[in-house]
Order: sequence, then C-alpha cells, then structure tokens
Amino acid sequence: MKRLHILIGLVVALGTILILMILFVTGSRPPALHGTFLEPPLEAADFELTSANGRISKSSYEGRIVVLFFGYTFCPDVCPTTMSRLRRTMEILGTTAEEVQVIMVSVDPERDTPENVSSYARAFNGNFVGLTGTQDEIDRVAADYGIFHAKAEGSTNTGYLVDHTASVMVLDRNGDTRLIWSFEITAEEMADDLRYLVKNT
Amino acid sequence: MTFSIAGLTLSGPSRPFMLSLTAALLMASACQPASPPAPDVQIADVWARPSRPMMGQSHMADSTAAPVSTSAVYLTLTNAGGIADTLIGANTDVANAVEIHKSLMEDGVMRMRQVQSVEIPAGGSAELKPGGLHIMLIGLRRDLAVGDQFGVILQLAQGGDRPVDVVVRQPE
Repeated sequence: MKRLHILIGLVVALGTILILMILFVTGSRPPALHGTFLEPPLEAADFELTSANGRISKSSYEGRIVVLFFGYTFCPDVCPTTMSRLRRTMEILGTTAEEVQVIMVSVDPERDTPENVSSYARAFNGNFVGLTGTQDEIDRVAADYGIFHAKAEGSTNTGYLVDHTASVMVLDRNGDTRLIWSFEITAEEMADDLRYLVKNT
Repeated sequence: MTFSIAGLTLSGPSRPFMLSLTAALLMASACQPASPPAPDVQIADVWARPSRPMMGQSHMADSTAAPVSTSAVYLTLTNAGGIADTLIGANTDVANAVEIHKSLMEDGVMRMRQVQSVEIPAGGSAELKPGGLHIMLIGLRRDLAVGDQFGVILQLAQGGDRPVDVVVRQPE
C-alpha cells in the first residue's frame, strides 16, 4: 500500500509540475505581436540630442514606452507616411497614449535644425518630439539602434537625399529595444502592440 | 431582269448594274483606313500631402508648426487604349520644381530616386501611392492645408498636357 501511495504522490507531483510549466510557457509568450519581439530586450545606450527646447536625453523618458523613428523633414513620402500613421496610432490608443512617447531623430542634421525637426514632429501631434544634433552625435545614435543612413545624390532641385532604415524601434520602460516595426505596419497594428507593452511591461 | 423568290416575282435593275454597285460598295469600304491604336488615359484620385499636417484636423496638432518645403502628389492612371502612354513630368504653380520619384526598399533601407517617366501600359494602369511612385513637389510656395485644392498639369508622352485638380488630404 505504501508503494502505491508513493506512486500516486509522484504522478500528482509530476502532473502539477507539467501543468505549471505549460502555464508558465504559454503565459509568458506574447500574443501575436505585429512587430519583431526581442526577448530578451536589446540594451541600448542612453543618448542626448537637441530639441527646440534644448538638450534632451533618452533616459528622461524612462518609465514610458518610447517609439523611436529615424527620418528627415525634407522627405516627402516615406517619413510623413510613418509619422502620420503614428499620429493615427495615438488617436486609436486614446488615454493609453499617455504612456507612450514618440521621438523622431533626424538623419539629416545638416538641414534639420532643432526648430525644423521639432515643429515637423509636433505638427503631427503636439506631444511628438523631434531631435537633431551634430553629425557625430546622429551617427552614433543611429549606429546604437542599428539604423543605416547615408546621403544619396539627388538633383539640382532637391540637393542630396538620405537613404535610411525605415523601421521603427519600440523601447520598453527601461529604454531597451523590445520591438521592431517594419515600414508596412498599420496604425491598428501598432496600437495593438503598444497596448500589449503598456499593459505587460 | 426579273427574278422570283417564293412565288413572288420582282423586277429590278439589270444584273451588270447590280454587280457594279456591289463592287463599288466593297471597294469603298476597303478604302476606309482602320484607326491606329491610341492610348486613352484616365486620371483619378489625385491627392497631395499637407505641408502643415493636421492643421484644423486634430486638437492634438500644433498649428504653429512651420510648413515643410516638400510634398508628394499621388494618383492613379488608367489606360483603356490600345498602346502604352508614359507620364513624363508635371508642372505646378505651387512649387518651384516638380520631379517624379520612386521610394524603394532594399534590405530594410528606404531609398528615394528620381525617375524620368512612368509607363502606363495598354489596357493597364499605373498607381502613384505612398511608399512607391510619387510626384515630388520641391520648394513649396504656399501652405498646403488639408482640404485645399491646387492645379497640376500632368505631361503624357502621347496624351499631351492634362490639367488636373489636386486635393490636399491626410490619408492615414
């Protein structure tokens, strides 16, 4: 009889462990996120750049989810498309948007002054921040976030153009990269992902 | 001559006359030149991005923000004709210069390059839309606010100049 009790005890114990493991694994896997989820999050250096209101560091946004986009104000098509979708995303989020900070970093520091890039960002949503800096500062921050950017020859009308990675980086409340959105993502999908991050991280 | 059909007897013009008449009619129709195939391009849904995004559209937007100096015009060109046509340029009073550009993604990097023309195939269409082909307005001479309209003259290689009205809107 004793052996039977031990056997039953073992089966129950193993069963419980198995169930807990399943719950743990399914519970911690994120639901279908639309961006590329980085687990563990990718540590990313702090940075300090210039806005129309002076120097701002990334760490000043600690505690909020940061949406980081690298673009330039001369760009007529891709950058306004992304910024406009981000505007729409904040609309969809409603009050949840208060936990999210959208930051645009210029990859064209030669032409984008702090005033230009700030007012460009704010024109989409008064809470959006636009940052620029010296060429060195921009190069360093872009490299830290895996963002390619390079001048490309334009015409005499346009002057140079800037080729750049169009992906958007989403940072968690510690400033580490958690999610990468590609250019095609829609506002609804971004809102879904942000709602998850706001709720669960 | 007379000829009978189903018991009915008819009198008509002479056979030689009838033959000559038929031959003349046939020759006349053969001499009609067939019309050469031509393009037939219709232009639809022409819109442009605002230079003051969101002005008057959202309480969240900062309406004191300075306007940007470039914009993009998007449209759809449909060709119901028998041969292709080509969009080779455009003109407008609202900007200093106008170029056709294409945004293209290569290995995750977005690039924008000027293109000299856009083909509109026979029986097909060409779409200028965000993230792809667009008409770039460079050096805007005035604000483009959502709801504004302005004129652009599209230049088609075969179809000639086509003036169109562009509506400024915020699509997303």
